[in-house]
Amino acid sequence: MKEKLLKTPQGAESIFLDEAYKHEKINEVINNIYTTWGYLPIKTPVFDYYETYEKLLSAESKKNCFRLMDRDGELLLLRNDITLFLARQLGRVAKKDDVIRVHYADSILRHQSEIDISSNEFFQTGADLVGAKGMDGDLEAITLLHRIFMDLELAETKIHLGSRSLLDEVVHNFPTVDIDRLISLINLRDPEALTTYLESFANSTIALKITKLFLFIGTFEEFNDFVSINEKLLLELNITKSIKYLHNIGKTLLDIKIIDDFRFDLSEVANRDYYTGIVFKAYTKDIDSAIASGGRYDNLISSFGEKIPSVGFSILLRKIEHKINSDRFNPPETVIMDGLNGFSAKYLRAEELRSSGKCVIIKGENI
Amino acid sequence: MSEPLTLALPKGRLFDNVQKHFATKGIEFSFEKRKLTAYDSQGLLKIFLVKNSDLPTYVNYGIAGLGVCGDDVVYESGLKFNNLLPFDFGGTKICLCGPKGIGEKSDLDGLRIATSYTEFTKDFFHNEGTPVKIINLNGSVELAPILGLTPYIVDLVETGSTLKANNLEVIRTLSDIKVNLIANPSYYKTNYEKINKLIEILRD
Repeated sequence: MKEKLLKTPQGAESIFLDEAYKHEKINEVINNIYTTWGYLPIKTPVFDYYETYEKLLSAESKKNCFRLMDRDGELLLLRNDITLFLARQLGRVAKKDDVIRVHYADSILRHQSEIDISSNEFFQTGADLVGAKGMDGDLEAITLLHRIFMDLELAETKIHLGSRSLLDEVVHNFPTVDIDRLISLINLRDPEALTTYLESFANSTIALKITKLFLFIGTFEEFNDFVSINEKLLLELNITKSIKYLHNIGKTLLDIKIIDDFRFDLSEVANRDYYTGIVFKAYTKDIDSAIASGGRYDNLISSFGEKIPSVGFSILLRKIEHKINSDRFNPPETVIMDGLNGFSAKYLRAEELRSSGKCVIIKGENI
Repeated sequence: MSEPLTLALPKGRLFDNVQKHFATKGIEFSFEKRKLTAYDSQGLLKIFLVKNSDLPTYVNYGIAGLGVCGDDVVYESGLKFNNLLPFDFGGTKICLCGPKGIGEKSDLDGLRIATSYTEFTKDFFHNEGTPVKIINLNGSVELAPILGLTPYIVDLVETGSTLKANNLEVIRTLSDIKVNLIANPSYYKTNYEKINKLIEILRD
């Protein structure tokens, strides 16, 4: 019987001691960055009414979310995406011209198969700039994310910039395109399958060029070259706006000398329907999926209140903790207070040492 | 020298095809007896030899960033990868088969099918709106109609000689199966330059 008591469902793991210390310290560093950038914390509820979010959940989210019934028979949703829960909270309080900077760090609850330990997506920390129209808001979000990775000394991390609005502009030319199918083919990165699908809507030359467009990844310089070579296509499809926007973002990142940490990745088109403009994901060496994702979502809050343009990101903190090796995240050395007679003497000496910044364990009898 | 890309290859017949194809492109490798890891002669790849059905797991966890794998194995794994390059070798078809002359007839429960490809079969017939009852077998599925377990099977068909020997026939081809170079999506994003060069080398 006892072995059954030791079984833990995936996603309900506890973390202990050194690992938990590291988790808290990393969180502390990130929270300090948020604070210095003028962001204040927000706490979202652990559950809410399912019907509030039903229309906003992707098929994937619906499959992986936990639902439960309350005592009145209402269907509830456990928090599986903090951005959605946050939008709901802000929709209730934010007014049209408000600019609100919020950050959060909390658990999310998603189903994960018992025999799949790959996702580890159970803790999100993130920030949202609510009421931010236009490029400066986008730049603030991506530079804040960049600053966090710099401060965590997470080497070999690149932020991939893409655009959901580019996808929407392309699709505007072909109204019968199934957008979900198109996104799944872009994510598959199968040039043949993508071109074949696009050939149902465009001639093969255009289909092949659009395939190359959506599979493009490169540095800022390579992106500019790609844009020059494909200028005719961009004009023909009337998709210059999003491309120019990405170029201007790149120019600013170049000015502030952080462009090397970014890639222009037109295959980043966002799997979540609520994104409307720039989208981005961060990848780092030896981690099996994206460690952060974000983007602009100008219409999401209007599902719960007024239409307030916003941009934000979330980091899957548990995925990166083992990659962060700085000593500042290790528990400090402790002094063991022994050799004095009685608890009182040891206590008084320990307090002296603690006030000078030492960590002290009092060695008593039997402890 | 830069770090080699990691590639998982399946043991068995497909491995021989991959080895030959890569050799024609100047990428040569072999495994010492009982060894399951090797490097190619140019130092481009670190190669792991794994069981075919385990290959998606290794790539999903990023242990191997790349793999060579059939559509059928990827589909059954339920995992998502990048499909970077289809190969000309190893292609086959997944078919609905049954005893000669039986045709495609549902009983009250729908089609009763034995298969190793339960996910594919379930999704295929569900999307088509055909009710099915599926029994999972891990091999020798041709036995199911012979022994009376189910009238139908869904299986890979290459030459059809095994079907013929057991008095079975293809009733319907459900899908073509290709062998592809697959990648863990995150691994591709962090190594896309090197991977794109490899694709150029391997492209027919």
